[in-house]
Amino acid sequence: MNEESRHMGDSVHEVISAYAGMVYRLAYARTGNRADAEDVFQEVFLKYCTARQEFSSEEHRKAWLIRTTTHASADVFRSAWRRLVRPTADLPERPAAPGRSERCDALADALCRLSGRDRAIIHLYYYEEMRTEEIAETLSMKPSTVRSRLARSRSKLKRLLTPKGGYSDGQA
Amino acid sequence: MDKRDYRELFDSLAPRDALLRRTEREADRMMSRKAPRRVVRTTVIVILVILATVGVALAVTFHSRILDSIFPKDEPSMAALNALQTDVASVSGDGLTLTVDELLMDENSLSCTWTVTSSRAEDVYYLTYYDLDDESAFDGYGENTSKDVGDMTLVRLTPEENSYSGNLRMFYETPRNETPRMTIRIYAFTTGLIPVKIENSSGVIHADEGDPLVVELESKGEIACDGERLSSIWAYGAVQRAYEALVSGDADDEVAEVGAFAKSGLMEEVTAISLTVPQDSDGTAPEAAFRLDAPQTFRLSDRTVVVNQLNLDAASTTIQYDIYPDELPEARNLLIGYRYLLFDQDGKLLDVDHSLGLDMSANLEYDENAGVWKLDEGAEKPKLSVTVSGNPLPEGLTFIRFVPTCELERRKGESANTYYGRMAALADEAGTFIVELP
Repeated sequence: MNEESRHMGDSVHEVISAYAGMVYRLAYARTGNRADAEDVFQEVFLKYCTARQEFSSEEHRKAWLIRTTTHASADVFRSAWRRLVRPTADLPERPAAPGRSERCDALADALCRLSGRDRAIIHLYYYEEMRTEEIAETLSMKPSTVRSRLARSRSKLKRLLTPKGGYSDGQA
Repeated sequence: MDKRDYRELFDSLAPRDALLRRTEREADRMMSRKAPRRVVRTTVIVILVILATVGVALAVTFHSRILDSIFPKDEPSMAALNALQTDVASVSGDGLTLTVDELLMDENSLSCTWTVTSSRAEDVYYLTYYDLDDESAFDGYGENTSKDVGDMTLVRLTPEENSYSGNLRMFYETPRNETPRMTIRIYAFTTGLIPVKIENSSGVIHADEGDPLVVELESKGEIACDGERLSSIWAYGAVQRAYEALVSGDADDEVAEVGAFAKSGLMEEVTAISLTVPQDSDGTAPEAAFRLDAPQTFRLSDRTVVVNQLNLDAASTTIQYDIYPDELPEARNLLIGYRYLLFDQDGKLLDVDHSLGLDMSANLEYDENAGVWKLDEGAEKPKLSVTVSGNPLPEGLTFIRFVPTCELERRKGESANTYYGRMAALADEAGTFIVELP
């Protein structure tokens, strides 16, 4: 279980502190750039304040935050000034991470090639270690859709990571 | 993909302390019922516009699916006709034939059409995969593209309707110096399931495991097919369980998808065939009709524009330019004023847009109350990098006039030419520039 999933009181500061990383990383994965991720980050926690929702469990709270983050990220795409535009994602912006492997850099580049929605699914699956059924329930999607999008994204990532660049799957 | 790499990548991402503090302050303000001030920070924005193109039939004697899609309104150029390869290659196995019908390559793009034909006496279903040797190739990000490669669905061929065609158009990030190579793989299956045509198939094709209709079909040993011969049994429990088992075992994705059908016990793989094109590569990509030798700089009334790349190819166009605005953009919509309309020497609008990328490198803060962008103190002047890639421009151009877009409401029923013509008429002459084509 992630450290963020621990039980906590209703203090907003506590919630922000506990879930900041999760919300930010998911927003980054979904929007593909730091500026939008920060925008979404604020949006989510301000919505959390205004919603004043009662949560039956910590998992319930986490699911609400994930759902709100994905919706807020989608709103970035739907906003008027981007009605006809679509971020190509600047994951290549890659915040400084000394010593990070070339494989990670290649992966960051490859992730840019996925749509924001597919990146979010990949993120919830690989980073948050959610099962496809959980992702489906959280994102209000059909499990079969999550599975097919996950498979398609993995396939595309493999295609992008394999041809040149010396990348190979570490686990076959 | 290695999960450890993914975790390493995202472990390095964390919200800045300043963002945390700002959010906590806003939250406190919100909780005390004071109106929040929403801050939008923009450091780098990369955006892509996909502009749909509407195709109309070509009135030419020679019919080509690729040329139809690239030249929807005009006759194809001689360069494209010369570069087009037909009846490229074919391979057969176990009653299935994969033929690459057309191939059109230039320095910036690759277009391909192929057909799978079955001579088997029974129904056969197949999955399609493809690889390109250039990892920079992108397919329009999956939307508004002409791609049709099956896309996780099984294509069904019957003895009566025994062929199906796929197509693909890819762009490269940077011009190719060598001929690209593309491999298409087909995996074919047979099944004892009885195909049942479902008129409104969307609910079945994308149904969940456990969907009553799927359960009913499974119990009867039937499989749903829609009216376009595409069929899917992804929703069937046996297939999903087999797929999950393979994926969780970190199987190769292609192996997992193909293996899911075979291991489900519902399908039997009958053949796998693949084809790589072009087969007689001479090692070089077709040369561009025109390529800018060196960057050209234009000092305009309110900005400096540097055109770095202008490639006119047989099957595509790529233009890349940087804008250095004297003042920060006024509109929230950054595209207004930084996207250019292209006109030829006769004042005719050139329709090139397939995609347009805008990379804004600046530390900007948008004040929604004031409705203005603010540059961070001490930050460098903003630079906007724009890339346009799309359909080829007509032959015989002597120059291209770049006219900045502006906010202008389109009249009801107004044609694109008229609309953009009015926009061009409004443009300040000092804000336009011309690239000569020798």
